Amino acid sequence: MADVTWTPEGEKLFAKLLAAVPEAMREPIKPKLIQMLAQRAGSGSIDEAAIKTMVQEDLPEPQKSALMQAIGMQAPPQQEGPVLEWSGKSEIMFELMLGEVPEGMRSIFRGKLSAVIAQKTQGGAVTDDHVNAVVNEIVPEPFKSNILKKFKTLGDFDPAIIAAIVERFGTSRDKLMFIMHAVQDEIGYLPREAMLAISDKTGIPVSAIYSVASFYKAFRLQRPGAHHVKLCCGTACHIHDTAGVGREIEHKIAASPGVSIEKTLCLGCCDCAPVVEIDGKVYKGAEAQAKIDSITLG
Amino acid sequence: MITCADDLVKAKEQGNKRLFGSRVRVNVGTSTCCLAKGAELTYNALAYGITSAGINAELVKTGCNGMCWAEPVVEVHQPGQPKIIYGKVTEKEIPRLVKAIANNEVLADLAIARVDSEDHILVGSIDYATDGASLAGHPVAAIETTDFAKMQHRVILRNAGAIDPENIDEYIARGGYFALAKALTMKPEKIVREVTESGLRGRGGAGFPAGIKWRMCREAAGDVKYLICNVSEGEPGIGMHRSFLESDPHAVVEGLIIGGYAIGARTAYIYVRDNYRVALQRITKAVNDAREAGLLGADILKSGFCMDIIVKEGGGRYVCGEETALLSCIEGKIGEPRQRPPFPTNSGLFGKPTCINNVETWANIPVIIEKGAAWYSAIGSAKSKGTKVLSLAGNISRAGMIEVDMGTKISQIIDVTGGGIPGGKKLKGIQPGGPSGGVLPASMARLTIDYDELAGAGSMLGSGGMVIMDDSNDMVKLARYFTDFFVNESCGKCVPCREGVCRVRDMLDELIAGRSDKTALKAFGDLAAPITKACACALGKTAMVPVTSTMKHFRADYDSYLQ
Repeated sequence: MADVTWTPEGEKLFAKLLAAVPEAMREPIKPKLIQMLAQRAGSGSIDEAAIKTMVQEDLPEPQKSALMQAIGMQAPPQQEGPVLEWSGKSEIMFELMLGEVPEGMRSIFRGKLSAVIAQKTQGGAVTDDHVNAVVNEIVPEPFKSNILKKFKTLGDFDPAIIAAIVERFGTSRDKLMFIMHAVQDEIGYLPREAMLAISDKTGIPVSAIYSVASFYKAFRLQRPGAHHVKLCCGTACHIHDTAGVGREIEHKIAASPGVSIEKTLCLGCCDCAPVVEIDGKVYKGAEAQAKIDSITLG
Repeated sequence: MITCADDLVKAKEQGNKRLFGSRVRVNVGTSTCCLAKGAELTYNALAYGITSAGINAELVKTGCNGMCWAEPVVEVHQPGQPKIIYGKVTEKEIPRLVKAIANNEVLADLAIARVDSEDHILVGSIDYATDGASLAGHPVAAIETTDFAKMQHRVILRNAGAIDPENIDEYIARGGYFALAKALTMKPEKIVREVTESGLRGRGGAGFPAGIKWRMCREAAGDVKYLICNVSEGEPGIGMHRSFLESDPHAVVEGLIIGGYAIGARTAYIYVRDNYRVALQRITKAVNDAREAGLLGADILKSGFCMDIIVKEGGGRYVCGEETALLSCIEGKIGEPRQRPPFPTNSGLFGKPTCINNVETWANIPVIIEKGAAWYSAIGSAKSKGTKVLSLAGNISRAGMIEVDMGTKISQIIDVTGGGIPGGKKLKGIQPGGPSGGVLPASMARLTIDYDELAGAGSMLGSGGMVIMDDSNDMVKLARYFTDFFVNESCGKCVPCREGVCRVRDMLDELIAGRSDKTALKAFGDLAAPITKACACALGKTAMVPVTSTMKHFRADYDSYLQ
């Protein structure tokens, strides 16, 4: 493509156009754009008019509107995105998707993508599947992979839970741990997105929420296994576990992918030491062994 | 709704109907310690057995009566007859137990003791055997003659195991909330004076006089004040606060309301460790029930006094048992200790005057108000008044939750109440109150349960988690275990605690691996001094106690590892 020639104005405008393209896409898309421009310009140099026509006629929405605006053209009339009714995690997913768009272009993308989704839902509520479909169909790489990866770590929880919990406790700082405990009780752990949502609803900085979540052992930042075992590390359990049952349990669980383990402060059942807590219930002796075997072998 | 003393009397009648109805009453202990031993299976099997046998019985889930060594425990009270306490009632014992209940028989081989009457601290004598039948030659021993019970004095544990902890009427039937009614007719200053004169010392560890703390908080400037009940119980080897909350939660609620009235606080927090699921659930229900009954909230018993209690679930860090770290935790921050002064009584929760006491201290309050300071101060030793609840664990025949008068000899607790060391082994060490109190040698079993006596011996009463160790324990490895605990639980604020204790653990590992000589022992001493002096809170200050105390008393164990 070395044979393409530019008018000075055309070259300037093209630089402006490229600057508006998100950085990650700039290099891969550059040759394609030049190819389209070469077709527009025919045998002549690429000038401003050719660029404008190309953007207006060859590019798909919503990139078209965004780039038209970026190079100072009158973008087609902005439609307010349709009012959507969200369900499940769709709203959080939608916002995550928009988070990948450069800030200046976000409002245009919001309107256009809402319109695409509205077409899919036919007036019904937006589901997670609708948002997934939009990402898969129209979002280019590498954004698609990024967004889909974020969806995966979104945690399988309903954001409405967090709104309801914050509503119940209020937003002052001393309520933070109440909220975090309640959220963890609901979801099973504190996913990153849940902490972001708590911050969003309460106005407490995410940094403060993360410091509390990582300081206190009661909060889990990873999803626990289908079965969760707490191994008591109290004095009485230590004294009574002369046979090394605790270590044996650790080994068994390490070999069982669906089971998670946590060493915990004294469970306060010192009279029947050594004890373990399995899925919220305390077991000792032979029952504990049998229960551990039933969850690790199964 | 309970709005006056008459309502309390009515509730008391209701409760007594449940406790002493016309049907046989069967209590099944369902605290966490009981549940760990299969009490739920026992309860379900009993429920099924009783229903299918067509027995008209009142089956009740109670708390723990302290006999943890005999759990699952079931109590059977046939109207008019002695109450029989059965121990180790596993599922397979249920068919014959149900049969015995149906035929009004006693299973002598399964029974631990019988209760003819109870000498209750608040309501006086509670008689079970009222039908006049002769008890001479009864196949089951009377409770007061058993080794486990004969030295005990159940002031705090007066209701534990006997009542349904989730039923407020049963608590009231045994004198509950009458102390509150009495307190609300007294002047607040008078209540504070009464607590001071009783000689009650904070049961959390250091033994600071409760009355003085109350007065300081009461006299501190400001309208908004807070109370906190500390149920952090983070030390390993202690279970009695959990057990107590699960067995008699209303006693704490009542103590807090009286404290709020006396000190001038309208909000109290009960801080409970997150690991204590059952305790959290029962104390939450107790607070809600009290609120619903009108004993919390606005205009309590028409006195004009308003108060509420918030149950706060903790975050599972040992350091939060330290009072200033506890404040940070309730404020929703990470639990790092703060510099003192200012003391919490002047500037505590949210910067307001705050009175922090532990569960056992608060549970003492209703008794002191009802019985008076003079009565209370007659119990115990010269400078340590009242009783002490202890959790007895480790290498001991009868592990459980007990209550003895202050001034009781440790050796007697081990040999009589605890039934001695099992397996023909010998007593080697006693940890009287959590790792911070260190380990005492067997020769110090002559000491008594007394704040000053234990402090004089270089230990501390702590909150009362007594762990007994037999001669199979290696004290170096035990010190290593405790040091590892302190390493894991350091909040990281002060360098000597965060880094120094880590180093000590490494040095112990070296020693145990047989790679150290005499200079290592001196190095422990060199590190202990700065760690003990330079840390902000008691956790750091006492982190070296397990090592220094075992080195002092069990030097032979250390020497055996030396090169």
